[in-house]
Amino acid sequence: MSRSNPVRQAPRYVAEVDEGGLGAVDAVRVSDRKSNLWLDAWRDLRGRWMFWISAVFIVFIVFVALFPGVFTQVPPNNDCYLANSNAGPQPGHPLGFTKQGCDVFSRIVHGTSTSLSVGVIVTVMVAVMGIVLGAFAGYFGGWLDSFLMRIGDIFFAIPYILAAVVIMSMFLHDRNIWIIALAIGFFSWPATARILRSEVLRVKQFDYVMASEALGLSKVRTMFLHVMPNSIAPVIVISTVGLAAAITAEATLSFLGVGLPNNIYMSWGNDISAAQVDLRTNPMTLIYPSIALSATVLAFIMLGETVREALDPKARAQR
Amino acid sequence: MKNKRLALGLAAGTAAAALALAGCSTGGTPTPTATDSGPASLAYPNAFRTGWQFDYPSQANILTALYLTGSGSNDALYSNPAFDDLINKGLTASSFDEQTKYFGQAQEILFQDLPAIPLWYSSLAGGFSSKVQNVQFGWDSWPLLEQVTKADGSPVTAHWNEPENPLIPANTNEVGGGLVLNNIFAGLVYYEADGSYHNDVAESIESDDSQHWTIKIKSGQTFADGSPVTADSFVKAWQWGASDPELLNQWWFANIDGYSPDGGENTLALKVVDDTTFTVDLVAPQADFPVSLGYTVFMPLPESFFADPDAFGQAPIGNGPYQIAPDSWIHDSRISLVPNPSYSGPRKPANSQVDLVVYTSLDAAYADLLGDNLDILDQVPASALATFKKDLGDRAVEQAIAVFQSFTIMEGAPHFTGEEGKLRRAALSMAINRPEITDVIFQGTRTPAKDWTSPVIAGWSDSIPGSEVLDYNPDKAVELWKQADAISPWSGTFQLAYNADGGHQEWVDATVNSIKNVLGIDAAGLPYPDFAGLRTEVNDAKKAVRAAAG
Amino acid sequence: MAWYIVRRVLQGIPVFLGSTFLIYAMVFAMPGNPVLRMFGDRTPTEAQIAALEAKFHLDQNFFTRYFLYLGDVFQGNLGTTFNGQSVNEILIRTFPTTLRLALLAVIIQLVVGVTAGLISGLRKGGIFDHAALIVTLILISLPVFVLAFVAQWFFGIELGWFRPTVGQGAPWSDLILPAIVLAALNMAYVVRLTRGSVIETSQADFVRMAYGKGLPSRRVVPVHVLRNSLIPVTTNLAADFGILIVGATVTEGIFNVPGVGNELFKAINRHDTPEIVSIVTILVIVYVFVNLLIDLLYGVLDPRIRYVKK
Repeated sequence: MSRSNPVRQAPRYVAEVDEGGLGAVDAVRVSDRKSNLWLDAWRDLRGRWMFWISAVFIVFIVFVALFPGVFTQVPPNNDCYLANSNAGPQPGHPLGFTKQGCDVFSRIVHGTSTSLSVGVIVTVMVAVMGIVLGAFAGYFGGWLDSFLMRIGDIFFAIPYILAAVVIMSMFLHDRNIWIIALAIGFFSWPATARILRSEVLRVKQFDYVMASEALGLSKVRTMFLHVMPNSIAPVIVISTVGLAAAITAEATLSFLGVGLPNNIYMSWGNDISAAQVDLRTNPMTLIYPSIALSATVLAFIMLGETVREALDPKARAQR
Repeated sequence: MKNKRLALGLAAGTAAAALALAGCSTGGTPTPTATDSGPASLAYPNAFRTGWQFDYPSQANILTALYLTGSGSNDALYSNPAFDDLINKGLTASSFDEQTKYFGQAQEILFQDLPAIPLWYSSLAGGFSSKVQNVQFGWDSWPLLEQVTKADGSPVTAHWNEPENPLIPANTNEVGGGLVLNNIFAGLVYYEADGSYHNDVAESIESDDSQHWTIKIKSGQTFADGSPVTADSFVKAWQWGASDPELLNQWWFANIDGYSPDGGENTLALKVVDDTTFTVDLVAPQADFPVSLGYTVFMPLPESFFADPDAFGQAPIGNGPYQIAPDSWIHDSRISLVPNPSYSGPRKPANSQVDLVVYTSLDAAYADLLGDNLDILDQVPASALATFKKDLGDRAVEQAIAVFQSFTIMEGAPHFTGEEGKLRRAALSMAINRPEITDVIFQGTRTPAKDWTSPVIAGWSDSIPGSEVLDYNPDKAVELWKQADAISPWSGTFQLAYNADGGHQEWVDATVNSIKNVLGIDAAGLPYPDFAGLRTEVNDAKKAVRAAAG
Repeated sequence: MAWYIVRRVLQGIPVFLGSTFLIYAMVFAMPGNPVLRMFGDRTPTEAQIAALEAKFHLDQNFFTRYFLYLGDVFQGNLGTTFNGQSVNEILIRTFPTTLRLALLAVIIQLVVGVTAGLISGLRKGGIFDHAALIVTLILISLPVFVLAFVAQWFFGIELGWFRPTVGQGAPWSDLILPAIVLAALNMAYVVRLTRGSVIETSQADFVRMAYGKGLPSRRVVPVHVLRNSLIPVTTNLAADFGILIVGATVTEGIFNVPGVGNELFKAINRHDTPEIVSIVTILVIVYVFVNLLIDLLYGVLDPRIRYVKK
């Protein structure tokens, strides 16, 4: 606050500038870089080591997902011999073999793209649907609120297992990442919507919202410009955890037999589900993909946490 | 078959009497074939694979049901007059040895045509708690409850599945209801653990020509409600069972003269001679008819049944070693069986009560077995196959049961017809390393198949000519596949379909990997989410193929 | 307030109709004929298929079946399963068990999760904060079936602290282990949310004010911080209560809990339309009701939110 910047004083009509001693407060530093919520957040993020660690790791994971061939030449789904079933590490096979005799390391590397895609698609889908519908419901209230929330109740109370079995059965021969993401995500937006709605109910009481409307901004603009950004923090927390839940939901659907075909899609979920049978005798084939899953999930949650704090002026101020 | 698999299959991690369906597609997306006017999915299951749990211990049970021309469960749509002829000769044979000879020759033909690819026989992998003695399992995998004794005198508990239908013999075709009916009813004959059969209610079952049978029953027997068991109890029960196509077991009476699948009253050629004698006229001679009479569908019914079948289905009254303790059936939870004092047959209970307990997963049941909270478990979960012998010591049970597993390729499937088809079928069979899969995936609880029946069924042989096709022979497999390619080149993926709710994924993956590694083609499992979905696709495909054939 | 409640209850009617319709349509869209399943590997004759389809109204078109079902429902009959059981009885039998399990799980979440979140939030960046993060992360990154199997094996069999499965009558003591597994799944949410909320509230002026006027933290934390932090947590717990009732399928299966999730999974496998639709519809209604309670609870927790007649 003590930087010496050219200062432009707002014209004053009531009293002389320094009469009230508030000149410094009213001053606008014109040479300062433009500032908005996201720019401020970025400036804040740059200084956080947690942000850099998680961001670098996520970039790495995305790189693995895009170019698995850089990391392993072993085919994930061919040359699986039962003679190697559950065998330990060997040269060229650093993590050993699955029960079917496939290379664990190669399957994890090749599974990255599926698991990551499912997690990200589901999270984005749920977040977008939840934020938009929740914001409209909370901000506009009235019949729209009731309508959206009751629709949400219906969707949310439908067990995702029923939804998944139905959706995956209907697309039996064309199961792909988008379909499984739809099966997991399409029925989970109401949770996000409810969280956002309750946050919006809180935020819309604040003076700046009233001020925005008083200044003549339309309700929709006010909602998008002021209410939504200020309500979004809990959704970021929920979404990063939800990403983890989506990746594990993919595993649970595999366990229930409605997952992705394991010959076309290597996925951590498929591998964890397949390894569960040998949990007692050969836990490592389960632990390796679980570590990959946990590390990825951890990175996203750390990122979510730092972004949330960066976005939140109050949390930022406290540091 | 009684769909025992069905109940077993629903508990995760089982593979008893597996059913799978093999299909092939050209690449990852379905391409409708010329004959396919229905949904695009019909392009897939142009081939089938079936598992079979024997209903009664006779080779004829599986051979007639699965491969006889036009038989309802002939999922391969297989038809070979030479095979049909040998089976009919076997059914009318005058001696067991002669019957076995004909059935063996019939199986030789199957080995040449390979309507299905035999995989392995199932064993029972089960166990019992430290509190019980004299636990024995039968050829059909059911525990012989009446023999079990428990030192502390408390009720014996056994793993059970909630019946899927009301407890009426003509309408019960799965393991949960079957276990209860089997213990509260006594039929004309009963089965020993080894699959041999003896008279129970019957005094004698005789015929001169294997077609016209005279059945005498022991006099003075009663149902648990005191009403007498007479020839009428059998005849009326069978007539009722055959009268309604809604009843799941109606087809069992199809071999009795006068059967009409569309229903109608008293159509069967059954005649009551006197209180303890009745006659049965079959459509065709069937030498193993007495063996089949131990199956629950042939149980007698008391008069009270006919007054209100629906009420009876919830509280059945039988003539067997046990009766259901009043009001003890808590759906989806348990049922208690107590000895029936009026039963005087050979299966006298040695305990004072048996509680059948429903478990939704085998893992849960196994956990209870280890904690001595459950006394008898007929199937350990897949996750315990590797350890159950160590966990249970001499309380572990592993024995062969009458379950045959295979995968079937439907007649008319692209690349699987004619000479090319024979070559490809043999190549696939020889590309599967059965001993390795049964060893690694099933921990030895399956035995590689040697014929088309089961080693616990009398007449089994491991040296039927042609059975070499079941041996793992990668070189020969590649050679045969190449010969077939010369006729018409193979393209696309070989897909082995299965129902994902039955714990089949492991062996399917291992099997397709074996095929993939040996033949160098792309092969994959095709999971259907549930059994209904799979069977519907199979049935639709059969209809489509039949329609295409005119 | 009263008007608000009446309005919400009245909204239950379209919710009921909408959900039954949606669920009926979903089950209808499932491929596979349930009649064929009844015969196992044996293929029934066309006459048998036709007779059984007629018996269960499977041969009717969608709208006829839906209205037949609705007609039954309005007479208080939720239908009959393929094995002749009344769906009413199934619900009466299974619902209490599931409710108890869900209640237990929510209590565990509330006690453990909110406490952990509160400590994490107050001691942000401390050892406990990091430890809680790591533990909840490990829990959430394990699929439910793995967690359930491990818990069953370790606590149920190896240590013998709990009965590995739920025994007859589902006593409370047997439900503790599955409740812990269920609670663990959502623990990360509860801890994260509470923590975030506590951090935010701690910086609010009224909390600084409370400290500033010399109140001890043993008074500030429960009265000012916790109460104001609980709003998002409450919403989440409500949503979670719904999930626990409907989504406990896998856990109920592994621990053999005779509850709704278990029953529903079997019904889905049987394609037992009346049973699936009735169970899920009841779940929707319970869920709507719980949400109503939660919305009313907002008003108590946050006086700024008021439900008034417009």
